[in-house]
Formats: sequence, C-alpha cells, structure tokens
Amino acid sequence: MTDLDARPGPGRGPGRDSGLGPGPWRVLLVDENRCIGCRACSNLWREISCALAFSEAGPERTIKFPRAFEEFEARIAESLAEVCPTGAISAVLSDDLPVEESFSLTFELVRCQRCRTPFATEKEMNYIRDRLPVEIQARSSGESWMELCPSCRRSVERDAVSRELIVARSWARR
Amino acid sequence: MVDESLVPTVCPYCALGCGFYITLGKDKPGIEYMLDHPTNEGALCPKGNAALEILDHPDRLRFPLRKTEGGWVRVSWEEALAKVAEEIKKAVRDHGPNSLGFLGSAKCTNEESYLFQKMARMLGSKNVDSCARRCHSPTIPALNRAFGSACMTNPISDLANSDCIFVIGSNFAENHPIVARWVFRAKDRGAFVIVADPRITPTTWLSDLHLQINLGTDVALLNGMMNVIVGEGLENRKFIEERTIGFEDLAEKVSDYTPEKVSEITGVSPSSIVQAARTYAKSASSAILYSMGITQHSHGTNNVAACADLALICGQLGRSGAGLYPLRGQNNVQGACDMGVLADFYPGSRSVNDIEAIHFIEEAWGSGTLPVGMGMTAETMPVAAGDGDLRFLYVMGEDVINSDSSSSRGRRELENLDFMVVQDIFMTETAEMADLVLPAAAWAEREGTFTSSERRVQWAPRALDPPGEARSDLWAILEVARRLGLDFDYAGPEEVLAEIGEVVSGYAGISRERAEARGGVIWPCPFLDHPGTPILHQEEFSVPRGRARIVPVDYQPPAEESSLDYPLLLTTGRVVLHYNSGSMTRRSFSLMKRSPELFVEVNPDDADRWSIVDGDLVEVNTRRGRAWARARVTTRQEKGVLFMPFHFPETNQLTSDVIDPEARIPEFKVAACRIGKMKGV
Amino acid sequence: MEIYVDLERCIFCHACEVACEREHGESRISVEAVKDRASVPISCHHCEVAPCAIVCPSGALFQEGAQVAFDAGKCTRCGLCLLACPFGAIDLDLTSMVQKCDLCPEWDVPPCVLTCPTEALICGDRDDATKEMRRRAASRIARSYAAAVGRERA
Repeated sequence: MTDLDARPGPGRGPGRDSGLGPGPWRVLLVDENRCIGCRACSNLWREISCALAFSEAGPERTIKFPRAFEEFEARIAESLAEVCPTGAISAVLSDDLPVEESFSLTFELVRCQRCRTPFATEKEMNYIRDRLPVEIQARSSGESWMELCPSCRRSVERDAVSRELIVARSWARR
Repeated sequence: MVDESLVPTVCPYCALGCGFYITLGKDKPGIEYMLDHPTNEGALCPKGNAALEILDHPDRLRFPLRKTEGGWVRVSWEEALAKVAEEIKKAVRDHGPNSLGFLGSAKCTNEESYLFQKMARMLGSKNVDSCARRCHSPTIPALNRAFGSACMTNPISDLANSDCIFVIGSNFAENHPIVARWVFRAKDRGAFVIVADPRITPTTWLSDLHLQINLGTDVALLNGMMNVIVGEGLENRKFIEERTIGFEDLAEKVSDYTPEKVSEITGVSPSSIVQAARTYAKSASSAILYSMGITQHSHGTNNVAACADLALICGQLGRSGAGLYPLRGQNNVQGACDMGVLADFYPGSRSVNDIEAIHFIEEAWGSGTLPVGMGMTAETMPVAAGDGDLRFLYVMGEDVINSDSSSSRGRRELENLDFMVVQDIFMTETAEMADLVLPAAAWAEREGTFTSSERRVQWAPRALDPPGEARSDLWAILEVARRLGLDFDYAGPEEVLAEIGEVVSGYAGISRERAEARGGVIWPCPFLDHPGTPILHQEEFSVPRGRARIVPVDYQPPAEESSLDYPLLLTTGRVVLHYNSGSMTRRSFSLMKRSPELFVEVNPDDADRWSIVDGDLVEVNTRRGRAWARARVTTRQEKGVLFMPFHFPETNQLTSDVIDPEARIPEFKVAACRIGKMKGV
Repeated sequence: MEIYVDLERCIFCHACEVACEREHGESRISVEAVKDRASVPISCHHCEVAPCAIVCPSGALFQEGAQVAFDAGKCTRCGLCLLACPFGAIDLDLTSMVQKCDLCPEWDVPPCVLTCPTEALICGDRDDATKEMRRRAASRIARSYAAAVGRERA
C-alpha cells in the first residue's frame, strides 16, 4: 500500500478559497448501502477521519470524508477503491465542484456484552457473520464470542483454560 | 573460528549469571540465546531480554560533572580525578583516614571491587561496604558460623535432583525466574515443593504445599518443623554424629516449639507444619531455598541460622539434590563479598578482626599496616555523615539513597558531607546529591569477571564502547589511586585477576581463559587444573575439625507491630519486571510500559474498610514517611498486610530502620502502616 | 501448528512478550494473570479453519499449510480480522500494522519459546505439544507417587 499521507493532501475545503486548484476534480462517492464503517479508508488516508461519539441513540462511529480532491491525485481514488472491503468507495471526475466540503457517514456501534465498551459497528459484525460458518460463531458455553470485544474475548479464553488449574492450586494452601 | 559478531556475555541483572550473546554488526545490537549455558540453557527472564535497552538511553552520563551554584558543569577527567585525590588528602589530613567512606557496587567486576577495597584500606580507612549489607548480610555470619562458608552450597541446576524443595522467604518465580526452570524439572521427577510465604505469588502457584505464615514468624516455623523432626526421630543420626556438633542444645530448644504453639504464632495449621517437616526430613534429597523474605528482618541472622539448623539435622547437605541456596540478588554481589567490599571482611572472607589474616594481606599487597576492626556499613555511613564523623564518601555504582530504609533521613545526613563523589551510569538520586559525578561504563562496555550466586566465576568481554567520555570503574580507580601515590600498576583486569588469585585462595586456579570458557569456573578452585567445586561440604565443612555447628535460635517477633495509628503491616519486595532501586529498569522502555508505577497491594477486606477501589491513588504512611501509590485490590495477601515493590523511590521512605544486631540489616520486610485515599484527587 | 502453553509452568514473567517485542517491534503474545492464581499467554492459534483468513478482504491473511500466514504488503488495516478472531489474538496497531504471531519463520525455534524460563511454551503441532505435556504430567504423577511411598517407608 502506498502511503498517501506522504504528501500534503487537499481537503481544506473546496471552491471559494479551498486550497484546491482549478478543476476538474475528483469527487468522492460512498455507497451508504455498502459501507460497513470499517477502518480501511481512514487508516489509508489521513484526510478521512474516524471518530467515536456518544449520542442520545448510543455510541456511534462517524467517518468523515472530504468531498473532493485534485484530479491529479487519481491514485488516491484508486487506492481507496482497492482498499474498501465492500467496494463502497468510488471517485468520479467532475468539472463541477460540490458545494459541501465534506460529508459523513455514521454507524451504530455495538457494545461488548461484558465490559460495555463499544468495539465494532453493527454492519462490520454483520459482514463477519455473513462470511463465517455457523459452527464457528457459536460457543459451547452459550455466550457468543461475537458479542464480546477482543479484550474480553481474551479474558474469557483465559478464564476458561485456567479454571481447573486454579482450583487445583487452591488446594495447596493451608 | 570465532564469530566476532556474537559476543558471549553475562546478564547484568540478578545473581543467577545467565549467559547470552550480544549480536553486533546490524544497525543496533541484539540478543541471541546461549543454549548451552549450564545455568539458563538459553532462557532469559524479561529483564535479561531487555538488558540492552539501557545502554543507549539518553540519560547516560557522558562526562564528569561538577556541582556548582549554577548547576552541573562539565569538567575534564583530569580535573575531576585531581579533585577526588585532593579531597581525599584533605579529609585524611584534617580528620584522619576513617573520615573516608567507600561504598562499593554489587554490579562492578571482581577486579573493580577488589581494587576499590584495596584502595580504601591502603588509605587507612576501615569504612568500605556495599549493598550486600542490605540483602544477604545475615547469611554471612550465620552460615560462616554454621559451615565456615557463607555461600550457596549447590549449583542451581542441581535443584532438578532434589526430591523435596523447601522455599522460605523467596519469590523466585518473579525474582529468579530461571530457578523455576530447575524446580519444574524436579517436579517432573516427582519432587514435592513447599513454599512458606505470607503472600500468594507465582512461586506459591507451583507449590504442593503453601504455608501462608504471618510476617516475620519464620524462626517459629522452622523450629516447629525441627520439633516434629526430633520428636518423631526423623533426624539423620549418622550425619549429626559424624559431621556436626551442637545437636543436643538444639533438640532442647525446639522441644518448646510444638506444632500447636507454632501454629498460633505463624497462622499455619499444625498438620501442615507436620507435613512439611516430615516431607523435608524423609525425602532422599531435600533443598532449602531462601532470600530476602528471611534476611531483611531485625532477626535476619537468626532466620538464616534456623535454616542451616534444619538442613544440618536432616543431613541434607554435601551431595547432589541436598543443599542450602541463599538466592543472591545482583550480578556480582557474590563477587563483591568475595573481594571484601564489606566492613567486616577483607578479601577471601578474612575477618577484619583476624590480625594474622590481615598480616597475610599486608604482605601480599606490600602495604604498611592495614586497618583492623569493623568499619562503618552502608547503613551507618549516612548516620556518621550526619554526625560529622564521615567527611568524604566515594560511591561506586550504588543508589544508596533509594536502597536505604527510612531514606529521607539518609538524604538529610548525606548533605552534611564535605565531599561526595559518585561514579555511575545514570544521574540517580544519589548522584544528584554528589559534589562530583563520574560517568561509568555500563555492563557490556567493560570487561572482567563476575561471580554469580552459585559461585560461578565468568568472564564478560567488552562488547560495545561507552558513550561520551564514560570510562570503566577500573580505569577511574586506577587513576585516583595513582594520584594518591598508591602503587596500582595493572595493565588491565587480567592482571588484577591474577593478583586476586594470590589473595583469595578460592580463586587461585581461575585465569581469564578458564573464566571465558562456557559456564566459567565454580570456586573454590585452588589451582589451575582444579575442575572447580559445584557442591560444597561433601566431605568436610570449612570450620575447625570440619564439623558444622548447629546453633539453636529463639523466635523473636518483628520490631514493629500494628497499632491504633498504624493498623496494617507493610511488607516490601520485588516484581519480575523491575530490578532493585529501578535506576536501570525504570529507564528500560519495554519494562516500564508493562509496570509503569508504584502500586500497593491491598486485601479486599482492608480495601472495603478504607473505601478503596482498585485503581485509586492512595497514600501509605508509616512512622518514617509517606508514599503515594496505585491501589491494587488483590487476595494475594491476607487481611492486615500490604505489599509494595521497592523499585520506586518512595517505598523506602516508609521502611523500618530497626536493624539486625549482628548483620545490621534493616527490617525492610515489616513496617506498621496505614492507608487512605488521597485527598483531593 | 502454533505456540502451545503448558499452563502449569507459566509464571507470569512476560519474558516472551519482551522478546517478541524486541524482535518485531510489537509483541504478538500477551500474558495476563487470572484471579492472581494463574497466568495465561495468548497468541495466534493458527486455526485450521481461520475466521480471520475467511473475512480478510485483501487476502493478507491466508491458510498456509498448518499455519495462518500474514502478508503485510496486502494488509489494508480494515480491522475486520480483529473482530473475527474468537480469541482476541490479533492486535491492530493503528500506527503500523496488524500484529499476529507468524511462528517466526526466520528462526529455527521462535525466540519466545527459547527464552521462556520455565519451558512453558512449545512450538509444534498439536501432537508434539500434547505429547510433551502428557509426558510431563505422567512423569510428575508417577514419580510423586513413588516419592511419597518412598517417604512413607523411610
């Protein structure tokens, strides 16, 4: 993956003193039905931000995209499209500069059943559920690991494997 | 063909003397494991794995520094060394040679330690000591009296041959992890492991019997075990008759220590005491492992004596699998002791009161009369400074401020010195107080021999260059000595080692070449072809008539008890990720990220009582001072006991200054205290 | 094939973490204590049917023989593998890359295994590892019985 952050990106705001040169521009489009709110695009390009917020509805992840960038940065468009797991991102060449500087997509986050930390978007977990064999998703103890954050999954795993050993060790004490 | 990019070395941290390779030639030095080392077989604890991290730390002292009104000023070595010599001469002229104090290091090479005490004594000062005072100083008188030699009797790897391993006052799984390797090998062979410790630790995890004794009640437990052994006729009659004296007095002494009585004192059930006693006595080969948990007490010498008694009456000494293992803490504390960096010993365990022995040294050194009698110790030097009896102090590689108990008082006392010079690798809190700081080469940047806890003498070569103008302690001592008119004419550490061989009989057969071989040589090694002596006391003990002395001791409670003002008891100790005063490990990033701050372990009942929740910042107070720490609520210790690691400076502000009358070690392990949430946080 | 842990022997010393970190920049094994009575290291289990490889959109994680391999060149840092691992054994360092145990192909024996003071880590397939652990357990049980009998007779 090329490091798109190696040169200063655009996104200061298009049009009226935007810092963007004259057109044509690449206009970023994100298909809301496909985007699952993962972190591939924001990790690739620092102009896309990914933030956690707590609204009245609960915890959510907001991904904010710059609406347009310079045409000659076509490689950004290509890289973003390549990196997106669901093919939700595309960029079209346009002579018209969009009015808004940026746009956001917001996703509901699911909370870990054990520690209540929000750890993934609903859509990310569905993406995973759709692809994993059903046997893998269940857990013998009843509680599904899929409802836990990675940290709690480790704790549960640790508790499970050490249970007998801890009992055995408690016998050694007088 | 020697691969020059792989430099074999010895770990600079604890006293197990683990071997590994420093790899050179890539962009930065790395580590490769030495699979054929007899003690660690390639394995390394986290500190060993991180040992390179401190070498290029930005805090490394690079130039000699002189303290002025305006702060630290860089000076040349020439100026610095001249100043040290001048101050020494001044102190001797105005106040006599015993106004000079010398605090040596347990991390310097044998050659450096040897020259350090030689310089001190040839200047006429009795006051040379080291941090061994704070750790195994009880081991020295107690085992010298019992066996004539105060060392680990068997190699660490020999633990694999024990059928019973009795551990008291040691959390080796955290503090000497490689010991655990051999204990597990023993367990694979069916060995039974008994651990006496007031806390639950990773060491107790691997025990078959955990005796969770009350703080400071070790002698009671040991005497109780001996009561059972004598009462049931389990003592080793043959061994007692042929190789010891004093059994009858002991049998009488322990007759009072019935399991019921001992149970009341220790908090351990009578049946457990009986089981421990029987298992230790009846096993074909049994070992005793001990460390700070029993030495750092106001009756530490008695604690060690009781351990020796137990081993002696059961005849569990002098053969494979049967031994007494004082686990020492620093990579060269054993060497520092062997070299006589102790106020009560000349090199080779010669007492400072033994005129004949001192004559021998005088001849060997070609010196005039050397000082006779006990000098000031690591604990009394600050007191003497406060009183004005000590005027000059030379500290080599020791963070005395943070290793002292009741450390705030020590700080005030040291301020009274006329002149203090500190030679170290970092600007420790002790160095901050000096008038002159000399930058020292760190472990991989100098060469010489190190003696591990198993009496294993190994040569570590110089792998890297020190930063800036830092020089080895050896060079600095030679330079100072010459300026004082002492005839210290040595081309390098090898020559010093040769002289050591002439003065310390156990080292006589140890040349550089022998020390460089894999695993070095285990002393006593009295002549060149001698293979070394892994197991001591096989035929005879090193005492007159070859018979060990069984010395009965009585239980005494710790100096401080809980009270209304101080309702809890604080005990201190170590954690696996840190090392001693923390001057090295607190600058090691991979260790700090895993153990970043001072914490205090609190039992849940105590936490409830004082409304403390896990993660709270709390204040712990003792009669000597206070410390702030992060609370960890845990069932590792019982109600009424707190635990704090001493790797962070605040802990020793709290600890007790009551000392063992013989060894003069403070009771770090028991202090009355109280705890409370920090106000306004 | 994976790094197996003989839990009886883990003494919570973190040597494996420090060694792994030294060699890779970030540690791929993580040790935590349970109830102050036991210590459990966790690293990639190299599952035979690996959820992380199934969900990885770019093919950076894939099954290779008895292991799950990772090709950093293909990684998009989407973070889905993190969410797909049932054991939480993958870490995503947002400044660098996905961190997952790769059994150190450049070494004969992985450093964590070599450095473990108590030989608690065993690198091998399930048969190797369980054979070794069974041997240790059997030896301990048999010999401690014999030792106890020996003490009774003494």
